[in-house]
Amino acid sequence: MVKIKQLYVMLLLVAVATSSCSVPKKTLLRYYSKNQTTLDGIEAAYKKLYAQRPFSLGFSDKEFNYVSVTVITDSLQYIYEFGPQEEARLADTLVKYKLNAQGVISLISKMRAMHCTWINTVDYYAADKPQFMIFLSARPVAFSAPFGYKKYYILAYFPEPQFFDEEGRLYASKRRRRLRKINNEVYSKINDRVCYTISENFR
Amino acid sequence: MLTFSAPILMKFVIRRKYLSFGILLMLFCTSGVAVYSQQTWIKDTTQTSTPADAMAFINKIDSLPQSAYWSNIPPAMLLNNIRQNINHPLRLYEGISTNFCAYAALSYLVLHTNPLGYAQLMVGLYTNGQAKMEGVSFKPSEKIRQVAGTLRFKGALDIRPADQLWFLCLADHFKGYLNFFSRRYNKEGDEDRLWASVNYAKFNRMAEQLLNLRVEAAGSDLIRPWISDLYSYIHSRIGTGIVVLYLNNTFLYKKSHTTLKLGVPTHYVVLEKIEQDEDGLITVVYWDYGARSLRQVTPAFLKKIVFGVSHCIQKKQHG
Repeated sequence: MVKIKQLYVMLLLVAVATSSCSVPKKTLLRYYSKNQTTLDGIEAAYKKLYAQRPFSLGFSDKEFNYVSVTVITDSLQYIYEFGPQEEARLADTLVKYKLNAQGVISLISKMRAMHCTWINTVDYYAADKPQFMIFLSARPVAFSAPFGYKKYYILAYFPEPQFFDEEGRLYASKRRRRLRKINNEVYSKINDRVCYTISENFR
Repeated sequence: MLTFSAPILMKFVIRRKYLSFGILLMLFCTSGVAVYSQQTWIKDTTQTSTPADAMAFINKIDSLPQSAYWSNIPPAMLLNNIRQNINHPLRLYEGISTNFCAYAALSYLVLHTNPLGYAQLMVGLYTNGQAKMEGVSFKPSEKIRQVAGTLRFKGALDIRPADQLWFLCLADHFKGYLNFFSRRYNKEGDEDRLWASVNYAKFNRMAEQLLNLRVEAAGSDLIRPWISDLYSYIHSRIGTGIVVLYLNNTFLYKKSHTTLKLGVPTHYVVLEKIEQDEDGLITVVYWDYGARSLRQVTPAFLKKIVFGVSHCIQKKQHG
């Protein structure tokens, strides 16, 4: 009787441990399909603003109060952090570096509303040619399962259609010899240009 | 068949974990990490050269045949990469999610102190499969020679075979206590793991041996340097040599929002400038990931993230 009880406990633990890995994928896909217009809109807005002046945006705290802005110039990367009471300083800084202040502030609001933690441009190489994809991470749930250490939803927006296998895993080329990993993570297909993964890191 | 019950297996795993931790701690204690290690005597002169010397050497090479040792590195790509590093040393990039940051910081020292030595070493390694710089003889293993040129999904490092060769050779040659359980490159991805990691004593040793620099080091892998005014300490050294900081990266580049963070350093940056304003805020300009970054930090934050300050000075001949 005791052994059966122990077996149930073990099975329960295994179920919790494995479910914490598989369930978030479904919730991520649900999250994306529910908010597709807004998330794709964030990507499109960032892409447009980035073309004017390269930068990246993120939130450095769980409550989405502190914004981290990295302005990229030819000689230096300027890394700034702005608190909730520093809207004026944020706007001044954006103007100083010739960023579209209104556009960036609107992007920050959209990201906050969607609980997006980070957006930046990542370079990758396809057939030795440089390409750029947009990396967007989100932390839509405040609570995560005790065993679910991977808690950020990551979306990768590629400029052109990518290559996938039957399981929908992202490959580096048409020949499908190597999985294309980004930050050491394997990505899966949402559509031809958008891929996802769940990661323990938001950037 | 020998079987173990779950509790015995658990105990064994836990004991093994403690044993590994104990061995690592013992190795750390005996690794020669000193809070202040300062060589007071000057042995000889540091070899120095200019980028022009290095370019003259590279430009003399009419054509380099495909190496028998490095089958995945075309000679033209190697030479292009070396030229790029000599002309634009700040663009050297350790790759996404690798453990090559210490080797990149070391490369900054090499390219700013002795670019000719670097160029000669690289061509020697490519041509003969082995080469020497100062007192250090590199003879990379066969696995390293096969892997160099094939690393992918590391950003710009993908198309820089000479940098792959260089970082892999450095990681293959220099060993510290962190490499105790992973001494050989076994499989793809080892560049992101313990095999490529660099403890503080190892970094200082690399700079001393490879460049014959005098390294004044303050700090360690687990305990922050006991310096009351860290800003003044660093500021006073910035003009007289190259300063490398050993930092806790989880605070510098936050990657998760977890409350508990591992309080150990894992990242090396080269400090280019440090200034304190009237409000006490400290502006730092540092080099890492192939770019220079500027940010403002409080003295408390600086103290929190800095675990090591290495002041690398050229040895000058006494007249």
